[in-house]
Amino acid sequence: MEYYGYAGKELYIDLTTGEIEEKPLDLDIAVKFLGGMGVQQRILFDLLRPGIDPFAPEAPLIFGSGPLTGTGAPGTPRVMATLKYPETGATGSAGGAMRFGFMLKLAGYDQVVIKGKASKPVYLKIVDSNVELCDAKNLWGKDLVQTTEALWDTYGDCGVIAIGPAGEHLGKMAQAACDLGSSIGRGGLGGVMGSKNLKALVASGSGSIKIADPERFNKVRESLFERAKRYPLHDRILRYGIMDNWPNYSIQFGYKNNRTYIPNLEEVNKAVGFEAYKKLGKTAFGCPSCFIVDKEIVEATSGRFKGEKWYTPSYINAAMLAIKFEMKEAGEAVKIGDMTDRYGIDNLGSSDLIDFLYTLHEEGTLTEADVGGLSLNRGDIDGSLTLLEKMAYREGFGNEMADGWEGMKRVFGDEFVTKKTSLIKGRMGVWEPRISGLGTNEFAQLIYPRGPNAECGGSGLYTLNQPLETVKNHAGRMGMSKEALERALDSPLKINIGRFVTSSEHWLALFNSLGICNRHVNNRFYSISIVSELYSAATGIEHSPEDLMVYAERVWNTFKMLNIREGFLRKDDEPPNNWFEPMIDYKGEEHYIMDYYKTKRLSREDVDQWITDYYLERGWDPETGIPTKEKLAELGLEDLAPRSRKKK
Amino acid sequence: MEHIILLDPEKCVGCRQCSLSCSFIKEGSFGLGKARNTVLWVHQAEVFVPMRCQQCEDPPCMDVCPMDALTRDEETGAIVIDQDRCIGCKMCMVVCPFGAITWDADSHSMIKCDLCEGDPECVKHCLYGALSWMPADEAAMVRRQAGAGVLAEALSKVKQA
Repeated sequence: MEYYGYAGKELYIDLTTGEIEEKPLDLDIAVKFLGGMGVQQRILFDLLRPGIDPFAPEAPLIFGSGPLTGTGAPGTPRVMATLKYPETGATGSAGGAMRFGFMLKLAGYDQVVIKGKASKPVYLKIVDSNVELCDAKNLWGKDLVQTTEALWDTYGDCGVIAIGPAGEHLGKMAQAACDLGSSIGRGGLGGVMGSKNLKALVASGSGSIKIADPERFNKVRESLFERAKRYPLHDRILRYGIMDNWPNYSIQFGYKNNRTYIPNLEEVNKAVGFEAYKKLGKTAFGCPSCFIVDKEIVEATSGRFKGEKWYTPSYINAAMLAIKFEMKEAGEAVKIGDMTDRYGIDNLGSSDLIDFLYTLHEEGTLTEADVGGLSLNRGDIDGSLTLLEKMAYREGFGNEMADGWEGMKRVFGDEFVTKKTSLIKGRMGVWEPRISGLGTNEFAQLIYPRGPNAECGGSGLYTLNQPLETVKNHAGRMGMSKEALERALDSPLKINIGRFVTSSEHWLALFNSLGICNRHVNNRFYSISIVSELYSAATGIEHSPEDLMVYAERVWNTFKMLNIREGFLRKDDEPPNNWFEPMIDYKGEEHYIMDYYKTKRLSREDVDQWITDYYLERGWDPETGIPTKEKLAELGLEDLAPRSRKKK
Repeated sequence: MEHIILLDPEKCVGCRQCSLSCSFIKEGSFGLGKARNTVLWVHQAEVFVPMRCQQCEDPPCMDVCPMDALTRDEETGAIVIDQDRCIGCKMCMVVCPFGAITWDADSHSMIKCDLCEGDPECVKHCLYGALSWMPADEAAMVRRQAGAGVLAEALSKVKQA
């Protein structure tokens, strides 16, 4: 059978027995769930035993990409990993980029489904149809950069997903990285790989992706290239990446200890912000097919860490933690960024956790003796590095830190941790509504089944204060129907985020399923009609824009049903209490949670109402958040509905 | 005027659109294996190296071919393969210092860059300026200009010191 767009094969690996099975791609599933995230969600639904410990050998782990990955459509390198996360107990699809998914497709595989646990450390090698579990004795214990470089040395120009020591030690905040340029799997993907004794995956392919209608595909591809060539911000983005958005980001992420708001102060900017970033050494690199690469190797050019380098998707991550840790120079941020990546620790999650410890120390409720004599002084870079090391290797107090917020609750008690943080489904959010207002990103953190994350809200209102016209344009681009948009705009606050966000989620599901990068610049080059043309021309399976939105909704409902089965209900979508307490800035002024356009201070009831509106817009039961039988039937997902027990 | 593809590895970011575009125009599908050019990540040097046939002035492939199947297209300057004469001995692949001629096991033929009859697809899809298609004399000027930049930077450091 000929496959178009899709590579056409799936791999099933049992690490316990060492069995490697190759199956043809199940086209029925692929057609119904598109690919990437969608297909993985459906496979996970069949393979995941509800309530299973994410570290149990039988817990499945799926890697793969979508039908557009490996084609020359600009910005289509996306690789997805789907699993149950140890940090939250929720399931979900994590997105990454760089070469792995692309190479996997060229090797001939759409998905790799892994279960079991190897008796000793291994890595999975996929070089075209030469698939093998290889001894990873010499890699185990190496950090993530060393591991990736060793595999590049062995296999040349390949794609690598690897973990560091934090993953080996089953860290719940351990993630993996794709070719050092893209992190993947916040919430413990690294730990899950570690629990399986799986140090890395390598893919390299010399095959090709066939296109059903090359002429039709080429027409759309060329029009995207023409637009890319005319794109006026091209040079700026190449030079600064997403740091170009520093004026917004420094406001959105400029806070610490869940209470103190640090706006874009000139000294922060000079020490660790945009001004400091401009002085770093930079080598640009990027993902296959990208037209606006913004990844880079940054190098400290002055100070104590002069000469230190860091492969990074963006310096912005370092800037965020530099603000929290009160670093004095960009070199320190580069060093910490590099070390979190070498250990394979989620740098956003770990910096929130360390920020929490610093805060308790400043308040006098936690002494250094309480944590085994580790330094808890904010601003002490060596102390921060030691905390990360202890966390990665589970040494001393680091053993509690390695379990993330669950570990903190064990030490300080559930009530205390909840009072001091803004946990949602057991993890900290990335977007802070007391600063940015409750836009799509901030709100979606509540109802995102995987738990709060950077991609929440898909691609709604990334930046502050976008005019309503821009929002409407984007709604059209995302394929939001006229009626849905009217419902979303029917609000005294100009926009009902609960209703609006359903379309953002579908747009994200589409990107994650087809293999398109979700970075905002790439995202805004696409529209539902372009996506529909590319998909139909590539695969030969005709999906209109309207069809695609239904498919995306199907993917999202499958994602939701998996988490319903894991026991997540409306109570888990509730906003944290701290969202309704003020943030206080350096002038002593209080900042409260507001709507996106900052016209009204929001109460818990307001946010609850938006959650209800969100459920109703989705056709889910507003009391429980469970998709109704009717909704599942409408989407052809009857088989996911909870079965009533049959009497004997 | 003779045109050449000028490479600037410093500007290459590894997007591989040159290879994908080549594969698409030549084979109708997207891949790296059958692309007539390649981009390799050399992590030790932290650089992507774009590689292709340099259309050498004194080409070892032409010298080694026992069937005289390789000739120069006077119009474009490309060294092209006459598939009717080629016996698939792969000696050209062995002697090419750039690995620019490869054996395609599916079509059972040697494949290499033919400069797309003077309108190279790879260059059209390079959005980073790592590949340029330009008259040979202009290329010399571009390289000199870039060299002058490097020298100027070095000189300014000497002055500062």
